[in-house]
Amino acid sequence: MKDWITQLRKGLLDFCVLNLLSHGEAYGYEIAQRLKSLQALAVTESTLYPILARLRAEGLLSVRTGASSDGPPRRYFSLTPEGRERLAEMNAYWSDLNRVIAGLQQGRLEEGGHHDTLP
Amino acid sequence: MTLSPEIQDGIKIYLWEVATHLFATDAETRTEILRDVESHIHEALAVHSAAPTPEDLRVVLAEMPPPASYAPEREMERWPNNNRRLTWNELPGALGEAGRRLIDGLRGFTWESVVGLILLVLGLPMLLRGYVLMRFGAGYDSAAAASGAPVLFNWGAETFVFLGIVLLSLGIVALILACGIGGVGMKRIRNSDWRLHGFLGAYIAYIVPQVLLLTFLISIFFLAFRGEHGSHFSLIVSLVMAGALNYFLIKYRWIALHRGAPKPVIAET
Repeated sequence: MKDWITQLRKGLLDFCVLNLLSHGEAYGYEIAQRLKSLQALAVTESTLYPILARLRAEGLLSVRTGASSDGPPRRYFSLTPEGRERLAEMNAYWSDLNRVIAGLQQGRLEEGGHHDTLP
Repeated sequence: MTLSPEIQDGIKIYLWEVATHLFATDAETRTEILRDVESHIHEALAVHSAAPTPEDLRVVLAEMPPPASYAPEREMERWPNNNRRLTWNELPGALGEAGRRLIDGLRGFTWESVVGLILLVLGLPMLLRGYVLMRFGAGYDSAAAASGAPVLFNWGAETFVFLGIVLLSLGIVALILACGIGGVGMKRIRNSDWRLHGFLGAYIAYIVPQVLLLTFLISIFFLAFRGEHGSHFSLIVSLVMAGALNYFLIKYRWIALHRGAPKPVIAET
């Protein structure tokens, strides 16, 4: 894997996890399978689970345990109000970034528009 | 879904290897990650087969990333050019592998290891004192008569022998208890998939008492029956014997611990 792709992906994974969980709670294995199906992200368990632990420590995710017939209790992750707030900010920033980059790719510098979320 | 001991051991080995690469991570985060990884393996096994075999486990683990990939590289990358003060949780990462193991072991002290240590500290002096009192008591009459020294306590030889027996017994019981409690600690560590406690705690509560108890018992044996070579020679021989005995004891325990466990599969990346 090229370095620049790895760096780009690292920053995006938090964003992807929060977006995935915005549609409802999910347990670790479920999240891993869904993200792994998106091949461009190339997510592995060793990148996903530390991210889930960190997002929970930051208060963006909450965890509840539920019984599982297949082994230890499942840990269901869901967004906290702070997580939803952060995701809204990230989504807004992502839209702005997308538009700016699309503009750059087309050889034009965007003027005006929504610069409020870009730092 | 019921898993065979072989599969359970295989999962434990993978988790243990992951845990060793998470030494720089704080204990709470590490526990969470290990819990999620363990749950992930069980779910993956269930998807694979309703009655998983060790072969299924090998396939599941081969599909997962190698344990080394769990190392928190972003934290590790911070060390070289970072002048800020370290927090307690970051300290192990800055000390290198040996330091990380030491600090993690210290953090992993459990009530068993603390009680075991207290019993060890109390038990050993009681053993020694009891042994001395017994010997002194046994030779009291002849020693007092020969030296003509004033008698401080007019207790008689029987009292010293009695005290010696009591202290000796208490000391032996304390050390055996220290070993037993260490065993409880060790069992808890194993039952928690090696994630709860540090090895230093287990070592102090479990292995050290055994070493000391055996050393002491063998020393008594040799001192009591020492021949023409004198006590120094017999003490050295007894210590060597105790060392050899403990080597095989620990080796046996290590083999028993890993008996039947499949070799962990490392996925290619």
